[in-house]
Amino acid sequence: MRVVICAIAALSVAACATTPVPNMRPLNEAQIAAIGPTRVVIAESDHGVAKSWFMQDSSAAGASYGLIGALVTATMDAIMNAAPSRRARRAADEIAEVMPVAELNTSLTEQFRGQIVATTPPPPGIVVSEVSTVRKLSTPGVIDDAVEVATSYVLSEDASTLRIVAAVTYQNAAVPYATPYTFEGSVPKAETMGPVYRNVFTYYSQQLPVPTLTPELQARLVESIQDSARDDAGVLPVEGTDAFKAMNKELEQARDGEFTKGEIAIFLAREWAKDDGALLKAELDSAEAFITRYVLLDMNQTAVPSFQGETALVETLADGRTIRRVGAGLDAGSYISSPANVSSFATYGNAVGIARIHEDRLRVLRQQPRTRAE
Amino acid sequence: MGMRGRLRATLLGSLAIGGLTLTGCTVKPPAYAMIGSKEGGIYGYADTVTPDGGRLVRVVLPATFATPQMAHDFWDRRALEICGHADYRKNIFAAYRPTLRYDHYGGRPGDFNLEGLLYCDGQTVTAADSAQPD
Repeated sequence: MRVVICAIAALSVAACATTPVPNMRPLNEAQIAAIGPTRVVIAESDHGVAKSWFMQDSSAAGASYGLIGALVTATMDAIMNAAPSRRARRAADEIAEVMPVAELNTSLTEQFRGQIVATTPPPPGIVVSEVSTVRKLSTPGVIDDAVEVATSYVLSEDASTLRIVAAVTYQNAAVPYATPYTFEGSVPKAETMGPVYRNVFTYYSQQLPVPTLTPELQARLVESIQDSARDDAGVLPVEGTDAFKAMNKELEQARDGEFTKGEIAIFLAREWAKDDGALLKAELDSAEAFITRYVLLDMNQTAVPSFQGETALVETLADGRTIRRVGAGLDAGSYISSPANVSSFATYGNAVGIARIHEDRLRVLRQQPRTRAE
Repeated sequence: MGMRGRLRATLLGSLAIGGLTLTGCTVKPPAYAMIGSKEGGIYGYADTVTPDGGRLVRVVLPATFATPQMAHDFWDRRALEICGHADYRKNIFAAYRPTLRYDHYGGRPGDFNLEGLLYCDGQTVTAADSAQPD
């Protein structure tokens, strides 16, 4: 028994001592030559443009008071979270009206189609030979010998910035992953399997100017809160109900003279949606151009990221937008495209609101039978 | 030890614990110092030279007791130190607060992170000038 305990303890310590390596996995020259022309598969977006918010959780505080404590904190959390989650959903609803998921998917697919190389013989290195889409919800699993691109679209807490993240992987049974890192002792299991290439590309939109709270804006804020609290028949919540308490709390905050990020988002989400989403579409075009260009550049280079390197400025565009390659930590090797002259501090919360139309669609998709990816 | 002695010991013990607790709660404003230095610790400023002769200046300040304005002030102060004059160009490309998680799923805004490019214009910046932690 003592031997078993010692062995488990030793294993636990050994697990803790594993040297961390960046998430990014570069290809080497032999792998690049072996892959050559390859297809790109876009994983269809299911959530569309989501809106982030901060979810509160006081369950740990109530846990020491037993069932009563749990019930009290659950009610408190429900009241505190009701307003921000409803606002986030509403912002996502407004955006979904001008930017349905189908348009997001088509737009990115077309950008990659623009990269297809049809010349014979193809140029050396990795090039795009064809582009298709896949619905991961109904066809889960890894697609062999294809560059898989999965994107997420999230508005910041105050909706001033749109963040687009593309997670790109390439896996091929004929080209296995060989870790470029050396480890003391055995190679960790995670470094012996999985995709041969992996990286993340993050695009931040230009930052919308944050409005100043004026009496007129405050009046519009109050009106907006009451509107969103009404039920389908247009009736305000009944006094004493949780919905009434949540609305009152929201109204109190609206009248306190402070303009919170959640309140700002009510107005800025509309800026993204106005003119049939013109601003949103312009940013999406810019993000997709960055993603398609840098995915191919990165797949054709062999630089191995270091956990303790330095961030490199890769490119500065005419409008001051910068593209950087992260130098340190788990994100080392990933690319970030940021706008110039940012002023307001962006936050992305720990929860997202998804448009009702997307949630309904997801519900239907989940009920359909699944097939495995080939 | 008599009753009076025990009371005195209890009182002294309580005062000591109270004092220690209060010391623990003492709030210090973030020091203007280099990240990695004794004064700054994990907070403060850091900068590296970019290939085009500029500087990449980064400021990190704690989520509590710091403000957005303080982060911008630190950045400008560092820029002034590097350039030696206020006639510099800056391009702040990142201002964000990563999410701090607590309990099970709760979250709140984390540390203030401010990053940007600095160009002193007309003044050559060399790698030797780059700030290094002590």
